[in-house]
Amino acid sequence: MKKFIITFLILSIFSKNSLAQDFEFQQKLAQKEQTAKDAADQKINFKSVVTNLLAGRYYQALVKNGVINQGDGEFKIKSTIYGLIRIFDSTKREKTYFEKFRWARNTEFGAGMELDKNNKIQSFNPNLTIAIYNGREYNPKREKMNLFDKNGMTAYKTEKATERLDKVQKRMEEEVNAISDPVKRKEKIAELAVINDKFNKSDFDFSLYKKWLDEEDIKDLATKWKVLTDKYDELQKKLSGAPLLTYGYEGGYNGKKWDKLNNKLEFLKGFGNEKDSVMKYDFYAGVFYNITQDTLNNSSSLNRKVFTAKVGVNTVLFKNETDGSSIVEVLGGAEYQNISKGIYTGEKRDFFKLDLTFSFRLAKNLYLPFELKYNATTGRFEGYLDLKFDVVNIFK
Amino acid sequence: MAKVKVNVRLELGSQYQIIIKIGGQVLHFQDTGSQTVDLDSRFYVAKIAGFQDPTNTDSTVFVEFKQANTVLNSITINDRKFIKLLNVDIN
Repeated sequence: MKKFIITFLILSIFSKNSLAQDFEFQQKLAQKEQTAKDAADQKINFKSVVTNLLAGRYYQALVKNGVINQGDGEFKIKSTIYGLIRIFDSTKREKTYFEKFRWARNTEFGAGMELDKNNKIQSFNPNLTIAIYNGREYNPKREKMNLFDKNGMTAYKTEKATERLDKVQKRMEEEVNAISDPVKRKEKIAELAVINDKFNKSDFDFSLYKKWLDEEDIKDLATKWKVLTDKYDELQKKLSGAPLLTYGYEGGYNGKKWDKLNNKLEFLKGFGNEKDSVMKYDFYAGVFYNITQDTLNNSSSLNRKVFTAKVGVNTVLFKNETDGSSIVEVLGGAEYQNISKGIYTGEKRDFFKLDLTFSFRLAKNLYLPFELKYNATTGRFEGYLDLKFDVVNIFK
Repeated sequence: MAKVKVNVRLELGSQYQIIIKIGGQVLHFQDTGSQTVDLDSRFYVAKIAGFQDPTNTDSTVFVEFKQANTVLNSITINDRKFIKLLNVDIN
């Protein structure tokens, strides 16, 4: 459950992980940029983009960058505002953009539209999510500290902390450069690449270089790296549990009338023992006000209004000792629901439920949550079992 | 001597600090850019160490070693704090 809450609230909504933009970002950035450049003039400025958004070439750029998806009678758009800016001006430095357009990264919009045979709008589903307060993003001004200034992790300190790796570099180079046979040389380089790759993917496991380092070297590297990165780790821990407040809106227009207007306000805050390296618990609270069209009622007005408030605490019960990923998580909480309009026959206007959800990790991105709810109003237990995919991580 | 261009590009994130050590020379990057080093034509192992935005997101830095128009090797780094060793073979 934690995966879903955090994934939904943080990664997919307002971080740099805009769903539409960033799943393929890491590996395809250059390709995307080139595609965007090909499709849209590099000299375009943002004002002209806005005023000419519907002009053909910009439309093509949006399609090619995945912001717009068009299918048979279907049209979908999803991006952060920042994602749009990036497409139309990839010539500016990322750092400048990143700091200047913080607000744009915290605003995601989307919409889906279906057209009928005459190309008239049949259904329309707009949505918007805004991070009202995002404490989980590094902001040197807010933190009143800059990790990279003279008091932080300078280049000099980084070089000194990793100095003993020079031995590995030097000895690996000697091994290769001593070989004159081109085939054997190539084989040696490939062999070293495998070792380096293993180290590069490890969690600073300097012992992988024990062929070229002695015990003292390995200990020195581990100690100095830890001293250098302590402040960084501390800040990362603080950010991981920082408050997060988001507002979300979702609408639905179907059959020439609105059938859904949903609003939600959600809050997440990590907490735990100061000595722990990460915040072990997450406090979650959310309020939802959903106005919907009763499908049994054909009137033009939205006739069912439901208010829901939820609070809960999530924690990891068991985790994989190797990679730290969770195996079993539990979310305990409560929810209150009030139906102010459009109550079904036999339905209670108010009810209160106690929720307990266990999420079992079946595979890397596959979870089996078991929800157990006690309805205090009816005095009944309700159980729900469902498979869930950690969608963001699947595409990472 | 060969002229090797080291390109560093911040692809996603707000700040970073990187040192690259190759052939005993230390290069320092805090922003997207390029630096050129003179190196003998032989095999090197480059050390790339540094830090990115500590926010739990996909901060990404791309490092590339290039001789004329030939890419000798490159690496995309997603870790927030990192030490990487990379083969660079100069002909």
